[in-house]
Amino acid sequence: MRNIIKRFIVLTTIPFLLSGCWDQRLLKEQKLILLIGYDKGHNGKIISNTDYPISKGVQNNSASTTKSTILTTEGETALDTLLHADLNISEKIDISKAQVVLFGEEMARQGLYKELDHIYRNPKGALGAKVAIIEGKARDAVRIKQEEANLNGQYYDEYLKSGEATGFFTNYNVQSVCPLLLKHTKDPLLPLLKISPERHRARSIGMALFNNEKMTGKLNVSESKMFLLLNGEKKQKVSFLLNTNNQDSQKEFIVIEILNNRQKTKLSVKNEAVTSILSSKLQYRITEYPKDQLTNPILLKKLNKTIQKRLTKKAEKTIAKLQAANCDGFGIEEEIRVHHHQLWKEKYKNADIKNIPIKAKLDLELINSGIIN
Amino acid sequence: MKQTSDFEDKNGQPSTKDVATFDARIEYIKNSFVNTEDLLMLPVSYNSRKGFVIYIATISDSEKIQESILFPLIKFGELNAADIPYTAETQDKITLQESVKALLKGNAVVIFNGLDEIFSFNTMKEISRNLKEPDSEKTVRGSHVGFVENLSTNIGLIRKGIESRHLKINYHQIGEYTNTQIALVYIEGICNPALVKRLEERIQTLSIDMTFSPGYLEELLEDQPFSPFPHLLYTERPDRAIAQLMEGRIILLSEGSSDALALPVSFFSFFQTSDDYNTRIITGSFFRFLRVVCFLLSLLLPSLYIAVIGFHFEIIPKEILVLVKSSVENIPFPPLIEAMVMAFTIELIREAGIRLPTPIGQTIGIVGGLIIGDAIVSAGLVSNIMVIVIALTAISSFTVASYEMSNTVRILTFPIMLSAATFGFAGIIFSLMFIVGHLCKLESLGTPYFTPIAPFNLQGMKDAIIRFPIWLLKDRPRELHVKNKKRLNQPRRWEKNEK
Amino acid sequence: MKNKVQITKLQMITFLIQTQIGVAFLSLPYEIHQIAKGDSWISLLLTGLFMEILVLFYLILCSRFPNQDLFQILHSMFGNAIGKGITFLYMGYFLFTGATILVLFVHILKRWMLPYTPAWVILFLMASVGIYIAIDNLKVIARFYFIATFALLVFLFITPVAFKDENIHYILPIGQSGLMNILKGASNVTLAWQGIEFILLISPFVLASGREKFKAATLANIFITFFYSFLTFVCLIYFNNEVMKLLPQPVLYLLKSFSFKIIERPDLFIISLWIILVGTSFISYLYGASLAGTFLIKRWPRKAWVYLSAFTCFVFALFFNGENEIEKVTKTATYSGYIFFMAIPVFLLLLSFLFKKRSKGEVNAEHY
Repeated sequence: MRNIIKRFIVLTTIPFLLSGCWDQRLLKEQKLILLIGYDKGHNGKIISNTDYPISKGVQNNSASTTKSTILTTEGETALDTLLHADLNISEKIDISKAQVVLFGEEMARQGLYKELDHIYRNPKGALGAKVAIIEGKARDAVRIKQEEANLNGQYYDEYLKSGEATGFFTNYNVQSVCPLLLKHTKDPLLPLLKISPERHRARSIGMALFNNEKMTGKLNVSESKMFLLLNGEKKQKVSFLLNTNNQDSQKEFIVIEILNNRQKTKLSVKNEAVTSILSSKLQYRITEYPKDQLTNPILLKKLNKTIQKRLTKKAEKTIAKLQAANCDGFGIEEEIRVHHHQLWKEKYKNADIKNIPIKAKLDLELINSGIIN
Repeated sequence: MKQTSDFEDKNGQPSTKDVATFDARIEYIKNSFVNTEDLLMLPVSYNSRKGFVIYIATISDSEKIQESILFPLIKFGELNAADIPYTAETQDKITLQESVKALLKGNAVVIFNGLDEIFSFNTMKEISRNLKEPDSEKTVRGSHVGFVENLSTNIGLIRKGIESRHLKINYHQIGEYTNTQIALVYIEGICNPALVKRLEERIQTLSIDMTFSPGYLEELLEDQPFSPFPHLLYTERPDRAIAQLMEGRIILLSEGSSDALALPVSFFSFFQTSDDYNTRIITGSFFRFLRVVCFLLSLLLPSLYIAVIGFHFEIIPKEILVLVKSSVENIPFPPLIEAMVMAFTIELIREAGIRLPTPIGQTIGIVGGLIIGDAIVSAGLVSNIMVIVIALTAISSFTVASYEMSNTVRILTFPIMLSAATFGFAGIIFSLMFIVGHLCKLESLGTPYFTPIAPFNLQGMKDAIIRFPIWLLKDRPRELHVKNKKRLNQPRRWEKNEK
Repeated sequence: MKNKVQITKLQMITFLIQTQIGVAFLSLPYEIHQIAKGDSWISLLLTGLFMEILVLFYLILCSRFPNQDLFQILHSMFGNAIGKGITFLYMGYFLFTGATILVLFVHILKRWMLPYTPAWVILFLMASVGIYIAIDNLKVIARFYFIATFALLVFLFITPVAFKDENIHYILPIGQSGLMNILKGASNVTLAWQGIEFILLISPFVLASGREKFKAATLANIFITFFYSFLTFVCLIYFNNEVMKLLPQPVLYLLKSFSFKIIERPDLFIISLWIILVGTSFISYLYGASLAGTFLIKRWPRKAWVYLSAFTCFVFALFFNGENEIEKVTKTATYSGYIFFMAIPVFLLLLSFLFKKRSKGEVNAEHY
């Protein structure tokens, strides 16, 4: 009896295995899109530039060569452009392994969420893809003829990764930027790149400021670094070039590297008005000081003061830029919501960051000046 | 007449006139052996009595016959039951029926006209080879002795290892024709008597015409013969058999086979080797762990690869994505076929090599492994990553300490590959659920097979996935319900003394 | 020679955990977030506390009838006819819950992993695994559940990766949604604890004293409560309010957004492991339904009932798996849960106090 049952089960299972493979999508039958760039087209249309590798076959056991191929399509929505792309490609397109999503500046000024929506919705969507803004057209960025990596997708992936490590950019990816695009209490800042076609390179020129999902301004590179410091990023080792002479005309440069950063956001409430103070305790070392030897402690103290002054100035400028762009990158509103919930409900819900005074307070401490004095 | 009645009285058997007389007895024996031609009858005469020395030439040692029968017969005058000269070999007075059995064992039987006693002498020819290390279970350290095809030698090897009066051996005969002797060895006082009783009941009710190998016994005795997993542990090593005995298991030995069967065993017994205990604790544990990992690897690797390539390639890290993609780009077959072809080839190479003499076997290995592997990739039939995957799988399946278990793994790979090719990861998980469920259901002689994991047993875990230090393995396996649970009392007592 | 099937305390704990943690917990943070927002995790702790009281009730009931399972208690309290009637209702409840598990399982699996595979194939696979294991005795089931618990631990070890991108501000200030919403949320997620009634079914088979059983059940309940609250907590600090509203299965989404060096998309592995957890819950309900069945018609072996129950669930899940029906089915399951794992047992306990009914020391009905 038992054997009959077993045989029955086996016999009924076999048809499944034969008729199956409903969800199969073979790797060899997909074109993997590694890089997508979105640009604004005419009449509210979207132009997407996709980059995918095609391999040139294996020859005599040597590693096969792959090269980037680029396809430009136009459509009504982001996914529509990809569906159009599918019409042009011999195999199926697949965006589940996208590594970088680029946006042209014009596109970014209109908002990002619309274009990312299909990635969020897709169970196979690439949430780990990095997001960056291109000053100019994303098309040029995708079509770049760089020589540093095999594929353009890899190039931007590595590019952004190293940028994060050296402290130019925040490290947002498609997923981690999502709450900020939707939420009203904190805003994202995304890497901003510029393409120089004649030199076949991309160049980071700072960060793009956002108010919710719309791009509203730009920071340059040193301001971006400052923003990261004020925002309390710890992993990144940020370097600054400063002029230590009090007169701007004279050039006495110094390069410092921030080693430790202890950041705190304080809110002080007076008459139902919030003032925010971003205080940072920074420990730094001197990595270059071409002018002189640093043997004199009094000189060091003076130097420290100058550096502090310069950095604070820079911080204020950065904050002013953020406020001008109405970009709450520090999450001030969030702090208010958390610590002064009632006040937030009454007054500061969706408040403009412009109207909240933000002060920067930097404390600098020299740790060492390298292995020479 | 008198003789006949004696004969009757002694045996309580129905006497026939035919068997009563000397000639009839000779005739009876001859008939019993269907007049086989290697049944020899040496006519001897002694004290004017005519008699025969009867033996089967092919299994009796003619030298022994000379020494223990013919010489004494010539030397001494009287052949009385009491006066029979004792040589090293034993001799008995037996009945006619028993004499047939004795002859089959290689004994020589002496019958005299006018004497109702039948004498039997042990003149068995020792058909045996030298003790040498078993090929199937080599070790680096430790004993290099293996069992041979002789039952008494094998039992002797065990007895040498366990010099205890508690070691008990029960003989059974199986096979209506072959009359194979099997021995059930266990240690009285450790082994659970209920187990022994259960096993003996099973053995006694076996009714089969022949057994010539433990494989027969295994299939006849085990609870679920259709299970892919082995229920009995084969070993050719006396030290391993001894270790199993000391844990409270039963060892089955059979005449003519150099394998000992240990039972009941659990899943993890198949991952233990004697080497584990001969190497240092940490390395021993590492090797044990490696084997368990290899088991999982060889079970799952091909199917994981199939599922990844065919269903979920999102999982591939971006660094090697392009590499993998270009490797599979021009392969004509779906990954399942690819894997099946490769796995099948490996099985072919193994099966072809296993029964050939070693030099040819090696050639097969080289031809199969290197040439086919290389050609199949450059021909573009199978992707090179698939070759790596299948080769890894094959190697890790051979890492599993037991031959039976490593076969099991490779057989199980195929259905998992099928389900992975149909449902991706979900298919793998469903088939794993079936396999684990099956392992939970298995019981060998009433002891759960998948212990110490299910049912969970912390003590048992000490010797399952990694090996704990010997002084911490204090208890015998709990699932066996042994009589004497403690294995060690105070190992390393010197530590206290030296303080 | 028939030895009584018995399981250990540890097996009781894993049995309860595996039965209760099943299909619901993936969407649990979403369900509760709709009501209790950032304080959802507190709600869950409260629910756990409430369930602990229920556990206490159950075990008092069990200790009054130490050798009887739920159906026998019903029988000895109400007599043959009514007892069998309620047993029949319980069987229906178990079947319905089993079917609900299947419906939700297929729904989520099709959403996340196998969008094109027909539902009946997935259902068939699940049902056949269920039959294969549920057909054996409680001992084997308990062994299987123990191993399945490792799948659960993976969830606990992987989700903390979210802490590297957490934002604790999302759940601050604590208590923002108000006590009423917290309580309301707490009462709304009892479905996640469904399966707790199996204490009444397996308690006579556990090799332990009443006190130890209570300890074991409490441990199981604590584990489940913390498991749920922890997962919800992680989801809450990883996603903010606006995002949470968009994610019906936040736990999976959370895992989807991680990426490791070797496995870039851990969610696919995790969904696969989740299949095991669903399987175990489903097996429990098959077991429960078949147990009730054998109690109703003694002549039929439990095996036949397992086949029948699995077939019933399969057919039910095949016909009721549209988007709208799922909501109805889930609602019904929650409400029937109120009756069957809260109302009836508590009622039984009260009655047994009222009429001073106790076990008459009956021996257990035989088990297979």
